[in-house]
Amino acid sequence: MYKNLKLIWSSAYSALITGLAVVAVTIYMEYSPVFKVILTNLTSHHWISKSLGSIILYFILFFIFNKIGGDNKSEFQVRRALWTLFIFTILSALAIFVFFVWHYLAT
Amino acid sequence: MGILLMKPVLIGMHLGLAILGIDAFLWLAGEYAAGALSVKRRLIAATLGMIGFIGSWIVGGYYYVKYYGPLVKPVIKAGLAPWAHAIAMEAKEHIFLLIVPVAITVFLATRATEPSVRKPTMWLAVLIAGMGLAIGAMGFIISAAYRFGVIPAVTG
Repeated sequence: MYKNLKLIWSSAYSALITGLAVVAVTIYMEYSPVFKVILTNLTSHHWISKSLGSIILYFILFFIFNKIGGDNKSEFQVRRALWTLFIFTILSALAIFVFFVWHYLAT
Repeated sequence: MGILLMKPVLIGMHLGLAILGIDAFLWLAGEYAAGALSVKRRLIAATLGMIGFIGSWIVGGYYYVKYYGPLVKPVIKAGLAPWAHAIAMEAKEHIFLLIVPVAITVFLATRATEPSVRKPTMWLAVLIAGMGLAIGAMGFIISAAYRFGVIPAVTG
């Protein structure tokens, strides 16, 4: 029996929120040149800023969820977190792909 | 060190590490599908997969920032398939960012022996491999668009 199911639960929700943040930042940047300049100035390239930002956000959320997540999680809670991550990762990837198809056709 | 920073070597390492990541997560999914109970083998597969994708991310990122933007992107945009950059590259570079946090989650989940955790972990491993393959296909489209982008300049 793996005792620390909370680590998996924390990681799953951190990855899920990080994915949604990547989608939001990616789409917002296409409509806000100022935001793109800010991201570029942070690290010399907007993609590097998004890359570092996503992994830093993931670890911050992981730390927070692990701290405030209470006691160890049940199998049911972990299973639900993993399935939710599965669905939202597919939706996030599709959102990015469909957005860029639409953006190309619209401009 | 110099040879590692050459363009073909960087692309080869980017692709090779991604293939390592894809294969390792397929191996992991196979372990679950076969009902194998070896936590050690699952950990080895997930560790290799995570290392592959993180390595591919760093190497590909270096190539993207250093060479793709100034050298490849202008050729594709002026070539026969400018959509290869606007759709395939843009989607590829952003969808990749989703993979590593999910890979870390799967890595953590491989240590769990609870039966109800195995199935979603297996499907997450399949999803990571599938996303890696889709990103690889986009990379192929981008490379082809670049090759066809330079053909008029070479022959004409």
